[in-house]
Amino acid sequence: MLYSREPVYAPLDGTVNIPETIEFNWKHNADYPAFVYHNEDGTDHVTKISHLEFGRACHRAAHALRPECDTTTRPTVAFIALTDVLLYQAIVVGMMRADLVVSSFFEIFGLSLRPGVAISDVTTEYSSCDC
Amino acid sequence: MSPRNTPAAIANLLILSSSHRLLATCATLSDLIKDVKAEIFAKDPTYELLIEELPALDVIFPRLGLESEGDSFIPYPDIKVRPALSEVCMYLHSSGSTGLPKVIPQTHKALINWAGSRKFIIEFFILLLFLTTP
Repeated sequence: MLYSREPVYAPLDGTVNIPETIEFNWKHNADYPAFVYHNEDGTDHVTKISHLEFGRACHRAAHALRPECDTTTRPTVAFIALTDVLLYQAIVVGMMRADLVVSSFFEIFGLSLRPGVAISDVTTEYSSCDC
Repeated sequence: MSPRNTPAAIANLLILSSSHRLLATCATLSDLIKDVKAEIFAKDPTYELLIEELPALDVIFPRLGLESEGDSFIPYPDIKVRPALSEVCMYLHSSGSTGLPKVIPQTHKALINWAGSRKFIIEFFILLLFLTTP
């Protein structure tokens, strides 16, 4: 186990939807790792992406994809990409955060552009929307 | 959408889900994107489709692995109207083993339930790992 403390899980009663888990995790699990990567340098150091960082990444994606911040409509945006899981998930949740409907498919992680291999995302079962 | 799909399948899914924006890795998928554009044009020459490159890793994760509270950050504003749980949050699609892939709408409620069951599955496997590790 990476951390002795259990993360606080988002409730499943509908009070927190997928994009709202960003703010939920900022409040309850900000320092908790959402993703952990091996480093390429051969040492046993790992790169941790905390929920604070992942959530901010989603917000940055929201800014990039809907810079006008006009969320009065809810258009569908298709997403087809060969990229790594980390960027892919941040963009998908970021689109949801910007109130865009995502048309996507998740079986595409054949190519990792980032060094390292994800060794754990056990705390992301709700927050990162691996769906 | 999966790049393993044929251009015809992707064009069909774009039209079925009324997607007029396509976010893609244009360099690594350039041939596919070109073919998708041609397929869409063949199906409906008036269909508008804006193709955009996805944001770069260093734009989305400028401090990759090192981000802390004090780093520069501008939150995205709250959305105007919270979607109902019964509204569509995203579209997945079927594999296409029995014809062209079909669009499968996923509501917010469905995704939350899915997340919940996934949590259960992961905890189950962690438990299994502990039980089977000497």
